[in-house]
Amino acid sequence: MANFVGGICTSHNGALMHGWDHQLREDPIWTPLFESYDPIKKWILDKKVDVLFFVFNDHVSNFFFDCYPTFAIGIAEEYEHADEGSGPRNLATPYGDVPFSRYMADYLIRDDFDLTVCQEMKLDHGLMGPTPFMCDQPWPVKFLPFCVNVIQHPIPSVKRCWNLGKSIRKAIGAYPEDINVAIVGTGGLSHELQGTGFGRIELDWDNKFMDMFEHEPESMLDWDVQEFMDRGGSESAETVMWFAMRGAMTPKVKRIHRNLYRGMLTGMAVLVFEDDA
Amino acid sequence: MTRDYKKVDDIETPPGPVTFTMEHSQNGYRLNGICYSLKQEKNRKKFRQDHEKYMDDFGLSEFEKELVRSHDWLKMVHYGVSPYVIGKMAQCFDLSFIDWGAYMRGEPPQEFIDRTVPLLKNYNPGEE
Repeated sequence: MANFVGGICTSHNGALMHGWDHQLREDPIWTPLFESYDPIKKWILDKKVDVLFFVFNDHVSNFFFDCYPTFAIGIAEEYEHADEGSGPRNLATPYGDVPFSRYMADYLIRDDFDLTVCQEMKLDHGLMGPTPFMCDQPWPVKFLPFCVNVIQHPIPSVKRCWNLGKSIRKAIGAYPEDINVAIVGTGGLSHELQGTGFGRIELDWDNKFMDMFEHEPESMLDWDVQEFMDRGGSESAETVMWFAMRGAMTPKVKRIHRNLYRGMLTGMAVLVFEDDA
Repeated sequence: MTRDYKKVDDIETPPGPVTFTMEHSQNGYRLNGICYSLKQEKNRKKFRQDHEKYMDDFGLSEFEKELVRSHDWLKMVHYGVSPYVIGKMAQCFDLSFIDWGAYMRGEPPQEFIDRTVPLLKNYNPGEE
C-alpha cells in the first residue's frame, strides 16, 4: 500500500527562479532563503519520497484563457519546462509515475472532483520555482502535477481545496503499490501584484496565518477567498492551495519545519508537517 | 459582455487591488492573447523587431494598440490584462517585473528597490 509521508507548503514566486538560475546562495541577502529549503531537501531524502503530489497553479504559461481549467491533473510520462520569457529553464526533466497518476485521476473523478486530464503540461514557476531548492538534480522523485485555477476569479474555495486534500489522502491510502508519497501545496503567502498596491506584503498576517494553519485550520474553512485577499493582498488568493495539503493531514500535526522570509514582492514561506498519530 | 472603451483615457484606475475576473479576461482577451503568444522566442523576436507590425498581424483594434503604446500598465491591469502575461510583453520592452510594477505604484523602480532590499530577511516569531 502507498505510504503517505507528510506535507510541504511553499511559496512559488518568480524570484525563486531568479535566485536559482543565478545561483545566488552565497549572496548574503539570499542565503537565509536557500537555507530555509535545506531541511525540506533532507526530509524528502530521509522519507525516501517516491512521488511529490503538487497542488499548484499555472501562470498562463501552459493554459490560456480560451479554455482555463479549474482543476487539471497531469498523467504524463514526462513534462516539459515552460518558457516564461527567457526560454525554457535549464533544469532536469521531471518524470511522472504514469500508473499512479492515472490511478489518482480515476479516484478523484470518481470521488466527485471533475478534473481536466492532461497528457502534456509545461511546468512553470508554480511548481518549478521551489523545486530546485527542495531536491537535487536529477530529481530523486517523480512528479504528479495538479493545477488549480487561482488567477481567473471565481476560484475554488478554501473548503473545496480542503476536501480535495482529503480525497487525495484517501486515494493514496488505497493505492496498492508500495510507494512513498508527499503532498505539496504551493503559492502565497502575502503579495499583491495588480494595481496601486503592487508590492504589498503583510508579514504579521503571514505568521499569524501559519499559526492558525497549523493549529486551527478548520476555523478558516468557511472564509471567502476575499478574506485572504483583504488580509494578505490580492494574489494571496493562492493560499487556498495550501489547504489541499492541510486537508490531507491529520487534524493535529507535527511541525518539522517552518520559515518566513521577506522577498521583494512576497512573504516567502515554507512548512513541513507530518501526521501526529 | 465587454466594455466598449473608445479611448485609453476612459479606463479608470481607482486605487487599490484589481481582482482578475471573467469580465477582465473577456475584455482583455486579445491583449492577453498577444502577450501569451510571446512565450515563444520566435514571436518575441518579431515583436522586438517591429511591435507595430506584430500588433497589426495579430489583429488588435486601434484601442488595444493605443493601450500597448501607452505603456500604462496600471490601465492595462484595470482593463483586463493579466499581470502574468503583461510580464511577457514588458520583457520585450526591456522592462523587468519590478519596472512595470513600480509604475503601477507610481514609484520609480530604483526607489522601490532601494527601499525594499534592506528589508529582505527572515521574519520568524521570536527571532531578531
